[in-house]
Amino acid sequence: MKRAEQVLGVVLLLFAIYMGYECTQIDVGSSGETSGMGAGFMPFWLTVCLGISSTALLVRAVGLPAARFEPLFFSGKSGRLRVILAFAGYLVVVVVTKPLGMMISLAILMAVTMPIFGSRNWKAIALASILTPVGVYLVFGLGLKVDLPMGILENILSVY
Amino acid sequence: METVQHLMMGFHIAVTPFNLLLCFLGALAGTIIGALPGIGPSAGLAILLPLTFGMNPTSAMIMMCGLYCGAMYGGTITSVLINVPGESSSVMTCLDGYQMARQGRAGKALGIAAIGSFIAGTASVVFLMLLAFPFVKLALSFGPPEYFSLMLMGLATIAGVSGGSVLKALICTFLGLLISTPGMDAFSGLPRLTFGLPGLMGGVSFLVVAVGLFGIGEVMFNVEQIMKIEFVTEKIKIKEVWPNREDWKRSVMPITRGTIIGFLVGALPGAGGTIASFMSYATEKRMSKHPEEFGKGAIEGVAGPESANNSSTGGAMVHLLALGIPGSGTTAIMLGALMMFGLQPGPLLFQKNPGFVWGVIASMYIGNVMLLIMNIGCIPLFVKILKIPMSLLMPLVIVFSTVGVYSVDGNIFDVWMLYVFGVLGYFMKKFDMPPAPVVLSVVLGPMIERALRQSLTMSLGSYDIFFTRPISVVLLALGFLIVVWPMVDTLRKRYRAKAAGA
Repeated sequence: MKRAEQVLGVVLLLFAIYMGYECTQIDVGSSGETSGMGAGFMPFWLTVCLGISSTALLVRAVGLPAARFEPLFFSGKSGRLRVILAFAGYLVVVVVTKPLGMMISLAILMAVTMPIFGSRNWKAIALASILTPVGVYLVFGLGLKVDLPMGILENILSVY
Repeated sequence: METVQHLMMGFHIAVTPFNLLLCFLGALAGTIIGALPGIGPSAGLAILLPLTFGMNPTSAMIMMCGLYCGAMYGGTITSVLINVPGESSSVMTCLDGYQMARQGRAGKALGIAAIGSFIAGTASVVFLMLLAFPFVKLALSFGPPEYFSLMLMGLATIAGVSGGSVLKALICTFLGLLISTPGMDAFSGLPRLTFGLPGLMGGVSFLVVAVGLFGIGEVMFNVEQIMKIEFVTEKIKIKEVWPNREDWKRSVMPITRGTIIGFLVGALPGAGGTIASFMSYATEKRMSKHPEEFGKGAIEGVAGPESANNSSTGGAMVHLLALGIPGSGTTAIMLGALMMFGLQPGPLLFQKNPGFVWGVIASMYIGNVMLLIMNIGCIPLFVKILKIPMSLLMPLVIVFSTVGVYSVDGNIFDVWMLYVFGVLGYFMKKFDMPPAPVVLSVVLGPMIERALRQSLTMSLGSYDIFFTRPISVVLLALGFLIVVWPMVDTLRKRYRAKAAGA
C-alpha cells in the first residue's frame, strides 16, 4: 500500500496542476467589477489547496516506513479478478445502453454481476436477468413515466 | 404554546393516509437498509431518492426521515446476530450485543436496543422542537459572511472528526468543492470547467456523486471480499424481546445518558451517530460499577450506544432545518433533495413553509412509534430478509442506482458519471478516504461560493469582513481549531512516546 499511496499522491497532484491550469484559462478575477472574484477564482484556489494537501500526502507516503501501511492493495488474486470483471461489466453495460436499450443492458448487468458475486445457480441468474428489467419497466417506465432508452425494443416496448 | 399549535398543525399534515404510508415505507426500507451490511443509510437514501420525485416535498421528506431513523434502528439487527454492523453507528453494539446473542440473550439485546432507540429518538425530536426556534432566531441575524464561516466550520468539522486521517478528509473536502464548480457560473453566466462536454453545463448533480460514491463504490468494495452471513441464532421469539426488571434497572441511566450525548453530538455539524455511539459506550464503561463485563455481554453496552445513535438524528435535523447546514453525508443528501424540490432549508423555511417543517417533525414522532412496533414485532421477518443472497442484492443495488440516476434528467451522461464516481468511491474506500466530506462539499460548494462572493461584494473586495464580525470570527476560529487540533494531538503523542522511549 505504500507504493499505492505514493501513486495516489502523484495522481492527485497532477490532477490539481491540470485543473489549476484550466482555471487560469478563465477569469480568476482581480478586477474591481467582480470584487476580486472571477468565475475561476474559487476553483483556482481550491486546486492550490488540493495541490498542497496532495504534496503533503506524497511526502508522508514517501517518508513513513512501509510497516505503517497495509501490506497489499488487493486482498487476493480472486478478489482482484472479480473487481476487474465487475469494472469491465459496467463499462460494457454503459456502452450498450444506447444502441441496445436499457432493458437489455440491465439484463446483461444482472447476468454478468450475479456470477461475479458468487451465484452459480444459472436458473436463478436467468430468472433475475429477465424479471429485473421487467420490474424496472413496470415501475419506472409505466409507473413513473420515465423515458427509458429502449434501443432495439423501441417498437415493442414503448413507454408512451 | 405556539410550539404545541405548530405541532398540532404538523400532525394534521402527517396523519394523512398517504403520508402515513410513506412514513411506514420509509421506516421499513430504512430498517432493511440499516440491517444489510454493505449498504449504509447514505447509499439507501441516495438510491431511493429518485422514487420521491413525483411527490410533494413534505411527503418526500417524511419518507426520507422515516428511512434515516429506520436505518439507525436496523443497524442493530446484524450487529447482534452476525457481529457485523449494518451501518457505522452500530459498530459499538457488536461488542456486547453479539456476546449477548452468544449467551442466548439475542432477543433481550434487540429489545433493549429498540426500546432505547424509541425513547432516545422521541426525546431528540422534543429537543429538536425546543431548540430549533432559538437557532432560527439566531440564524436570522446571519449575513453572508456568517453563513460562509458557518459552512466552512461545518466542512472543517466533518474533515476533523470523520475518523482516520485528517489530511485525507481535507483532500476529500477540496475534491468535493472542486467537483461542485463545473457548469455555468452563477454570477457571470459564463461556462467554466466544462471541458467541452454539454453534460457538464448544468454542473455535476449531487445525486450522481452520492449514489456513485456510496452506492456503486460500496458494491465494488464488496465484490472484492464477498461477505458470508452466518447467524449466531435465527429463532427469536417475540416474548423473549421484552427486557426483565433487572435489564430495565441496568439500562435506564445508559438510555438517558445516551439520549443526551447523542443529541448534543448530533447537533454538531460533522459529528454524527458513529461518534455519539462511541462516546456513549466509553461513558457507560467509565461510569459502570462492573466495567469488566463490558465486551462480554453487558446490556448497558447495547442500551447506551443504540440510544445515542438514534438521538443524534434529532440533533442533526436541528442545523439541517434551522440553519440549512447538513452535518453528515446522509443529511447532505437530504439537503440536496430539498433543494431539488425547490426548497431552501434555513431560518426562512420555518417562516415560509411552516407546514413542511412541522409536518416533518410530527412524522418523526409517528415514525419512531412505527419503528418500535416494527423492531419488536417483526424481528423474525427482518432475519428472513437478511437471508437474501448478496449475489442478488448487490446487482440489484447497481440496477436501482443506474435507473434512479438516469430517471432524474433522462441523460445517459449521468450514468457515465455515476460509474466514474463509483470507481472513485471504490478507490476512496481502498485508500481509507471518507466519502461523506465529498458529498457534503458538493452540496455546500455553490452555497459557500455564493456567500463568499456576496460577502466580498459587501466589503468591496476586502477579506476583513470575515474577521471583523464577531460571530464570523468565532466560527472561523472554531473551524480552524477543529482541523488543527487532531494534527497537534498526534504530534504531541508522538513526541511523548519518543521522550518516554529515550
